[in-house]
Amino acid sequence: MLYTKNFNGKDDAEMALFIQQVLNGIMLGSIYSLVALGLTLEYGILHIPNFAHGALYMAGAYLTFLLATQMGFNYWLAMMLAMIALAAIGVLVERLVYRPLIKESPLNSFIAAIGLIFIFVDGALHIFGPDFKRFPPVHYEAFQVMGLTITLQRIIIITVTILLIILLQLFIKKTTIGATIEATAQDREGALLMGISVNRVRMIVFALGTGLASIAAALISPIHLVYPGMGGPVILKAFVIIILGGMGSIPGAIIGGFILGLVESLSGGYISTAYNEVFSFGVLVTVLAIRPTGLFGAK
Amino acid sequence: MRQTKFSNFISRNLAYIIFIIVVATIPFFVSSRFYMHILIMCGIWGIAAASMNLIMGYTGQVNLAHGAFFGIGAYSTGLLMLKLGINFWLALIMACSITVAIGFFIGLLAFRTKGSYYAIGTMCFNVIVTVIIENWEGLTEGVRGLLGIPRPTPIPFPFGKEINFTTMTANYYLVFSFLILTLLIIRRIVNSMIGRSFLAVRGNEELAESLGINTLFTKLQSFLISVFFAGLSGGLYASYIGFLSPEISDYHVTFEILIYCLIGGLGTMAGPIIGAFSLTVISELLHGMAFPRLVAYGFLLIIIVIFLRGGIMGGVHLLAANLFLKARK
Amino acid sequence: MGGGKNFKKIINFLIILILTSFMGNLSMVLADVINVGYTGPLSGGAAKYGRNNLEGLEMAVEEINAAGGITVGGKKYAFKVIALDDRYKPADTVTNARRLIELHKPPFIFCPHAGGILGMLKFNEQEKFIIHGYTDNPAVLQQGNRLLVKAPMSMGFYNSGVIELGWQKGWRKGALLCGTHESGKLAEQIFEVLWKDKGGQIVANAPADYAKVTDFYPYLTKVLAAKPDCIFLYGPSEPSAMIISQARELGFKGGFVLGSQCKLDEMEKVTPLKLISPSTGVCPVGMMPLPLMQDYSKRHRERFNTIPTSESAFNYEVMYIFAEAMKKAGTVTDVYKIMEAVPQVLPVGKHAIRGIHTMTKEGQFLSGYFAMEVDEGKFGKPVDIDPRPWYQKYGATWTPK
Repeated sequence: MLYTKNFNGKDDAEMALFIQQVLNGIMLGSIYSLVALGLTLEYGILHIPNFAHGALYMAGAYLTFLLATQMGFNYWLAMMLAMIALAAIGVLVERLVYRPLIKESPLNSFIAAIGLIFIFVDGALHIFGPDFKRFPPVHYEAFQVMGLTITLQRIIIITVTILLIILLQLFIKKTTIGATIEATAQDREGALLMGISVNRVRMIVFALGTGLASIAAALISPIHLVYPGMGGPVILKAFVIIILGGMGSIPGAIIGGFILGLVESLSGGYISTAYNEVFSFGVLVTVLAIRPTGLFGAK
Repeated sequence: MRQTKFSNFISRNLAYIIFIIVVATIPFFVSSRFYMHILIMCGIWGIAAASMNLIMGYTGQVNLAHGAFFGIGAYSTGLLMLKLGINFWLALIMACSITVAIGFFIGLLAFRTKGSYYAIGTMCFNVIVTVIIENWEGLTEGVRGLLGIPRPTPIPFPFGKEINFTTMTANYYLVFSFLILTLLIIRRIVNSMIGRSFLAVRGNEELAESLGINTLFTKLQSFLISVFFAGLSGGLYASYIGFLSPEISDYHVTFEILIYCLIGGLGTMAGPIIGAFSLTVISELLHGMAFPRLVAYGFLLIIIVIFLRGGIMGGVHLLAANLFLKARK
Repeated sequence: MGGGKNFKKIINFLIILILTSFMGNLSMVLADVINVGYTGPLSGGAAKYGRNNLEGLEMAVEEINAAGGITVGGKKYAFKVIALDDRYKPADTVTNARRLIELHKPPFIFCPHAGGILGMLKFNEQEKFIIHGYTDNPAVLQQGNRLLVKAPMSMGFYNSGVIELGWQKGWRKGALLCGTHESGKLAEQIFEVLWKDKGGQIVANAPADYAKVTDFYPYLTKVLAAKPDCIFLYGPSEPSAMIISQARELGFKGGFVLGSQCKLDEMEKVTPLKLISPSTGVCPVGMMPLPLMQDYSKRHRERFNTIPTSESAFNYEVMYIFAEAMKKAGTVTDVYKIMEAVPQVLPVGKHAIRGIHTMTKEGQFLSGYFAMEVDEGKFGKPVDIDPRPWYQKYGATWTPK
């Protein structure tokens, strides 16, 4: 059953329930953070949100699925390969679609992103069909720890996310490329003057952002299902997160992601699951009313 | 040649006069109910697009909550007619007022933010409205949808006759009368002092502020007018289609209207109408293709956006400028 | 800038686009082809559902044509399916229907969602076409329309069967975890009303958007805290199966009552039967103990490489019903006469794969129905349930209050 033999009465059960929900929230938050991280990095360079991020996330899931099932690759290998492929696709998208529109109004990039979404989602629909695909069972062993249940895959998600976040921070702060990314994000003209190739930075950031999305998709797919529309709800939440956390802010994306995951999990568990989304957006609206540039955004 | 007031009037308003004449005479040439239906839908989306154009094209605010107001207008009209038995005309006015009232509060909150935050913030408002419509079943019937919304109440005429709205032609004239009215009103506003302040805010908000323009008030004005007409188009939709479900307020609707505006040409009067019309037609034509329809649509969007800066109207202006230059040589 | 040159390129591209697409539309109505219209979701979240519906229709038409078509009034006719995507939006359904009427003049239009059906009901009597509305929403039958047939029976009836089996297993405390879509909400109400009517309890309710939710743990945690004997599910098969496997992960040992949208054979592909046990659900179409259905199942798999479902089976049978009705009425254009002939041709012999045997006065078709249990990793025997008693008691337009 859900609780171990050690529980004493209602309070312990309530506690276990609460911790279970919190754990759920952290796991959800991890996925959201990874996606939001990619988005916020891209925003820092593009200065517009990349609406097609969700579609690329979906492409990453399908590619990983394809490699893992049809070609029989090992799960981790499939994830790596898909990530590399998606990074390449991200670079292509930046080069062919966003770069010609740099000088235009951001609305043009927005429409172009919508066009991309149509292409990817409808393309996936026609190539793979409309049904929900299930990943082959991987890491489904469940552990019972102090009255809580958690499966291996969920532990992996949380661990990998933390690892990636640390790696990303090190990359940005400690390497030269990372420094150039930061510089370009803060001041493009200044970066140009310093001889930084802005185009190269854009390329790297997009590869990074899309790659992160792909990994997030590959991580969550064994728990849920792969289908053409899976990017939609995720991208919406990612936007809420980067607004909440402040656009372009890495710590904002991370903290925002976990806040959203927890809000969803706890509000669903204790108040009502149907109004789930309203709570997330309610939190957002409240934060924006107090701090119109998000928790960590530049003023 | 002496320019009379009349000839002056004609030359300045030529495009509108031609448009009105064309619109008025189409039903005499088109008898197919299919084409009439398409035209009516173009008209409804045209009103929605024209209103979005006001806040986005002329005032430069990337407002992504438009679909929500379309939905609020539609549901208000539908509910007033169905549950309170109010006639269409009164219901429409009330619905537009409700939409503006709700818009006022959302606008006040939303305008605390700027730029991309404003864009995504308004999109989130859109989602909130959709979720509320979906879940407040007692009021809206939720995902089951609102069905049986009647067509507009017949208008009594002298001598015991009446104009009723059971035919396509009658609905066509109704929708396009509203469309023309909307365009004329928006044009009047754009050309007035208020319109100038909109353009000033679009150009450079800080500069406008320093010149003494109350930018919040200006943005709010533009927003509320735009929202009023969004609600109007929603009301027309509700009565014509007769059935509503929460998806009509979805943010995807906002995106569609945005595409119409942008492809047609943002910041021009004709743009939204041309966009609504041409994209509806293109979408219909794509039905005949073997190639996945939406993939083709996606490519089309990207190509138009990259190569046709300023949308179709932008292209038209460039073409006209080129021709003009050539003619002068 | 070259805007003018690019502009010309766009115009050229558009002209070619328009021309090539008109080629596709040049299928003018020939004297011996009868067009059959279909408008439904072929893209987006409900695409699979829309395609399932279409598959049945296409297969019937292919078979009829291969067998030489139908002969009416001494002339031979073949059928042609014209399928349009309406993305589940009623406004698009209306546009599609008008397009079909304008270009192809079909006497029949098939549509699998209530919104679209209701939209078309406003003008199908004027424009003279019969609608097959594939939906479990009884509202379509309440419009008093004379040119409508509906094959899926009331969700109230379907769900009463699976609830009965669950009750017989001794389950008393139920928890609801249904989808938030239109039919999900209806199912939730029906489960609650019927379960309480029998004397059962509903101890928790956690509706979830089956399509959008990334993880069901929060919902399951809430539901399981109330310690139910069984959980009611309603939504597409694969997410339902995911819910079950996640519930088992969380240690749930009770049963599941599966609504009519959950297809056990599709669920089996995602979650092993051992985890699904114990549960009650609707007998998958491919497992119904009807020889005609078994045969159809095989042919369907060979043709489409997908599992046949009620969606395809019913539309297949209804198409045959329409064809037979045309023959009986002796006309391919007078839709009122054809409609009159419909009840007279039931059941349609070896094509009555779902066994439609009666039509109520509102246009509701009654057919065979089987519920079944899943126990210890195996499918139980299908339990035959006759719809007529339920329909006599509740009527075709019953909705839970």
